[in-house]
Amino acid sequence: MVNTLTVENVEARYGRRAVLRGVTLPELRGGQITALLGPNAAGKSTLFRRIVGQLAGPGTIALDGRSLEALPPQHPDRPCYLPQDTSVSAVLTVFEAVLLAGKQGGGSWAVTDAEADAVTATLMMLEIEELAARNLGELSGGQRQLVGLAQALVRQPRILLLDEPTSALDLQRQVEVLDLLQQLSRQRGLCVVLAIHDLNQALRFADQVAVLGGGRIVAHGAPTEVLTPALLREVYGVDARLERCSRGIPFLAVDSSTRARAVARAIARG
Amino acid sequence: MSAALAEDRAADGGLAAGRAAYRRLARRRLALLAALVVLLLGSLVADLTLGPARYSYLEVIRALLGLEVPVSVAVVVQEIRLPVALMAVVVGAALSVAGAQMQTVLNNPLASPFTLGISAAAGFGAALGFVLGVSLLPSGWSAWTIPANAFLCAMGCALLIHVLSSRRGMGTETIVLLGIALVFTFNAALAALEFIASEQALAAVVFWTMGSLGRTTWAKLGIAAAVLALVWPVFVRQAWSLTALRLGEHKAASFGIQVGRLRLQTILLVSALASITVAFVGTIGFIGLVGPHIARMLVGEDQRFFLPASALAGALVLSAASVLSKAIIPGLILPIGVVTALVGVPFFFSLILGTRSRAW
Repeated sequence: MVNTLTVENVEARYGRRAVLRGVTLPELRGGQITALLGPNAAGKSTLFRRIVGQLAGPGTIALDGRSLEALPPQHPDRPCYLPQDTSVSAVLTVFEAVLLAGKQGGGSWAVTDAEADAVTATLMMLEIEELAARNLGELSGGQRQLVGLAQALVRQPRILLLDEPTSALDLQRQVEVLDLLQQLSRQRGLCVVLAIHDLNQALRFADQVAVLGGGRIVAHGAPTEVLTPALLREVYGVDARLERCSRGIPFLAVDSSTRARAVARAIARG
Repeated sequence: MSAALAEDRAADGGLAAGRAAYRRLARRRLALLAALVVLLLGSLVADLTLGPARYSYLEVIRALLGLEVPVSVAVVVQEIRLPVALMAVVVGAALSVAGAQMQTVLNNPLASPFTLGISAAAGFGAALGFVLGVSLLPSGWSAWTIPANAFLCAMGCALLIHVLSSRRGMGTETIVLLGIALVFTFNAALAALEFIASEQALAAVVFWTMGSLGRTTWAKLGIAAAVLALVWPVFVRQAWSLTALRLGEHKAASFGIQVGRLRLQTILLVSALASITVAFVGTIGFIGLVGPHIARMLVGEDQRFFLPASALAGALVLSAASVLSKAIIPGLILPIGVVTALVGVPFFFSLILGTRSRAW
């Protein structure tokens, strides 16, 4: 059974611009959620694309010690990647779009009862079964994001790479989706890696975090140990503190941004 | 959201309801395909009834089935009109399938085989034969000079795009821009040839570029049908991948689809399909645009339905245009390219503007 993803000394570049400069992630194991953090353009999406083989470059990526490059592109053990972009103009119903993902771009034209049932079960899990007959173009951004998640989950992956999977969702849906991913991770041994900007959600749902900055991993480990004021100032340019609410749940309180302070000083100087 | 709760609801009949709804959708789409087949057969028979002499539907059907009819009717229907009517069906299907796949892989609703300059290159190739007497075939094949010139120039254009896009790793927008540049280049070269052409050659070039089914022979029909039959199974095998491409390059790639290779392979096959049809019947550009859009409005973009629907819609539109080209002015056959544009465009507008669902 595949349950450990290893990423070591991975590099990637767009033309002459190096985006990843020897990224090594902590071991990514089944049953865990890892949050990949970092500011905009830190290389989070690039790292995902590099892991699934959409970008070439030096480095080692292995599943249970077996090089990922040895697996065919449509092998079911390959990590399942959900890109960030949800815009789509295809004239397909939600059911068809999820079915298509289940087919992974290949296979017989016939749709078995089991395949149709897998689609319905996934839509039910995300509580969007009422959208099944709607065309993708009629959906809101948040609904499209949920359909994208359904497309990832219907493939029953062992390793799931999600690029900002909750960015278009309202607060309730964000919590529900992350809670569901935590359940799937715990109950089914799913290894989840998610790029996310909401550090409080990372604190609450991730078992470990890895922080990307300048094309390298600058810190990784347990969320409460990694997200220190010094790191937040260095990576995000903000003054922030880790606090706990009355129920003991950790959260980040942001005091100010170094850039905002600089702007305020410049305005004050006239 | 809960995996356990979802399992409970699934056990309560949710799965059966979802399955039934999908099966209903699939049956509705199959019924629409069947309706297109019936309309196409009707149009084909109507096409066979029309010409300098008009026959009844009964006479045509009897002639097709080999039942007793006057010899003249049997000869005209089977030997003269049938290859032309079937050519309309094959060319319509081929151009529409080519347009459908071009729109799919270039992710552009305006794409058609002609977007990449294929039609313009074919026109230039034909004009080389008409105006300068140049033949790209060895001597002894003079009867095939014009279609061969058109085909070879069109394929040359497609190969040029293929090579450039393979080497440079171009995106879809760049491929379309390159195609449009080639359209202007070949049109300018065609205009230059027309400028120096004799009156007779100029008339031949103009008539050829209007598009006509009148030059059909059984041999040409056989070649066009064979190319369509060869390309079809490839598209059938790639149906899921091509559908996935419409979800966006990144999403398709995340399914393990090798997007670049699929796009280039499809462009090459589509170019072969379009080149061969244009070589035999001239420029009938509208079908490659309208056929896929009609299909998309009817059955969506699941290629299992979209591919046959595109073929049937394109065949139906061109066959109906063939009927109209003979029916508008009795005794005179108007150029098919002119009819498809004049009659088809308003029809297309009414479809686009009248539909409540998204057309793209």
